[in-house]
Amino acid sequence: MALLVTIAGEGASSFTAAILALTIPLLGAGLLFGWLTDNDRLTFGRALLYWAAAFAVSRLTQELLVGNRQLKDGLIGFLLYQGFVGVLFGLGFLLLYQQVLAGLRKVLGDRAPDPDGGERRG
Amino acid sequence: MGISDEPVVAEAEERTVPMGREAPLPIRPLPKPFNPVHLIGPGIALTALGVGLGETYQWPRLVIVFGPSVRWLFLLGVTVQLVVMIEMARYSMATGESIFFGAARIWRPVMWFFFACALFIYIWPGHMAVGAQSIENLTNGRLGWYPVAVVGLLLVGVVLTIVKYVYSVVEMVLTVFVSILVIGSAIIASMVGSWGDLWDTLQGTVALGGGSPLPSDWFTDTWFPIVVGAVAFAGPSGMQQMWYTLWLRDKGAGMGSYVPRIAGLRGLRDVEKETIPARGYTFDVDDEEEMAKWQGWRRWNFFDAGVLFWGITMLTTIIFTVMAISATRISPQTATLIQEGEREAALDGMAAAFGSVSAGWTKTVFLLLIGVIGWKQSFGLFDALSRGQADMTYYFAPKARRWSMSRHYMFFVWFIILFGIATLSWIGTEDGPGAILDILAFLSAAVMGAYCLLLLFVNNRLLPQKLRPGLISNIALGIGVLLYLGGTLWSWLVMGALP
Repeated sequence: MALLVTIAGEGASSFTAAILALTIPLLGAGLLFGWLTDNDRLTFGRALLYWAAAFAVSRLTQELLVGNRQLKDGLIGFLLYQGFVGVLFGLGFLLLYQQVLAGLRKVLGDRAPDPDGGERRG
Repeated sequence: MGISDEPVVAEAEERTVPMGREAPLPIRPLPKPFNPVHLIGPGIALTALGVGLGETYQWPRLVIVFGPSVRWLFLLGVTVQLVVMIEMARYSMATGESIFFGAARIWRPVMWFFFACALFIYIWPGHMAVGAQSIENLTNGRLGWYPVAVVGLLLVGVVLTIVKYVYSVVEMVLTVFVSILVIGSAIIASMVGSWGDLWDTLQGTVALGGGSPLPSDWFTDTWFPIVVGAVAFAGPSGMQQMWYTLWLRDKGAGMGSYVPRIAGLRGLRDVEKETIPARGYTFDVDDEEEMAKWQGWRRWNFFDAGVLFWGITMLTTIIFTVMAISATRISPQTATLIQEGEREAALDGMAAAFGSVSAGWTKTVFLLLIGVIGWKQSFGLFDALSRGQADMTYYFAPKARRWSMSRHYMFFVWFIILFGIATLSWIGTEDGPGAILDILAFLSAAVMGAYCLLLLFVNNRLLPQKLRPGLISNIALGIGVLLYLGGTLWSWLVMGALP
């Protein structure tokens, strides 16, 4: 994205603070998610709930740090909306996470069975 | 390469199930089902293909013009598509054949009708052109849309050619791209939307909230074709659901496990050593253990269709609708552009509106997302189109079996790409990329009505009694016929207005 922003002729510094204020809490949530997954604490449904909460908290942090501190719809409305969006974010994250894990396994030469548990006869 | 299958002596002894006008299906053991709860599979590939400009532009536009209460029709369209997906999988998992083979079992000309439709509808590189236009806007014209689109097309061809097994790479690429789309749109929506916008959208999804759920303007020459087109673009449009059966087969779902995969150059030598059966296989429906495994496959498919396809499609469209409502609130000028139906100007206007609330970075992300949608749509469509055409050619064209199915596949991939580049040079530079996409949208709804009819016939007449669909599925398919085929014919023959 930085490359395209540079090609577009816009300075990246204008929004660096806003991006960092969201990225850092999300990164923290991602690390905790990885730990929980490694320890088999998250099912599919719990993982979505986790991201609903983690995304809402990350956005609240961003608003408090670099926003104008006037939350649309008040605190409850803001958190409800961000939680809903967080479910979609969580689905995207889970999909990407699975693919990255599968890619890493391939690079590391792990011969673990297909997560689908299927077998091919043809 | 072996072409047909087992020796004649074995054929005389084995049990077979007659099915339509083609060869009967030999009985083999049904493989063990995949784990039902999964993320990566043909469902997500179809979802990635289905979430396109219908979800990101056409439906948000209808909501802006008529109010959120019209979204019930989107819910209906996506739910019909959910049933279509389950029924496509029913045939494919029970036989290991594509739905095109099912069409041939009714009568070969029916299958050739779909062969012609696929070429006619999908050969236009419209998605790539619109995506490239977005990159041109993003870079303020420094990267022109034409060279970006040509490079994008060539990249599709190279990726699909050099891989070992094509389906695994298609699944991976589409999953990564839909993840980026979902994450990116969630971030933009979180910045620009509000609980109020979301609540209006959710109420409209069940026909509540502001505005009429059935506006009288819809029944005018201007709007009726657009509404029919928008219903077709709710979820996977055109022939995408038919190609889902080919992805299921390459994934090894159900009896598809007995048919070899399509390979790229690196895997060609391996697959050409394998024997490709001249038709699919089925399993013993009188065996209780086999039927228990079949129920396992159905559960896997329900998750694929219900959670991955229906869930992600609904959530993405809700989010894009919220974004469009927010854009019109931020910039009334954007509302005018959306209402006038100037797609490219409207998308650019939405990007500018988003940029104004976040020091510009959400504008960059939004234009990138439109570029991502364009490329991944073309990537998925060209793979699926080539796969379908190769399947029909290999099994039913005279003397076609001198080439393996993988070679037919590569031929179609490069034919479509070179045709696409020629089309971009010929039509695109004069009329702009939007004109190419309109050709594609124009033809999708009719073929969807046709495949609903085909499914009704194939699954109710050809499959063994115990595997046939229930009443609710048949009603949903009937609604599909009315919505897609009825809508198109009414628009064309009664109103004289083409979509």
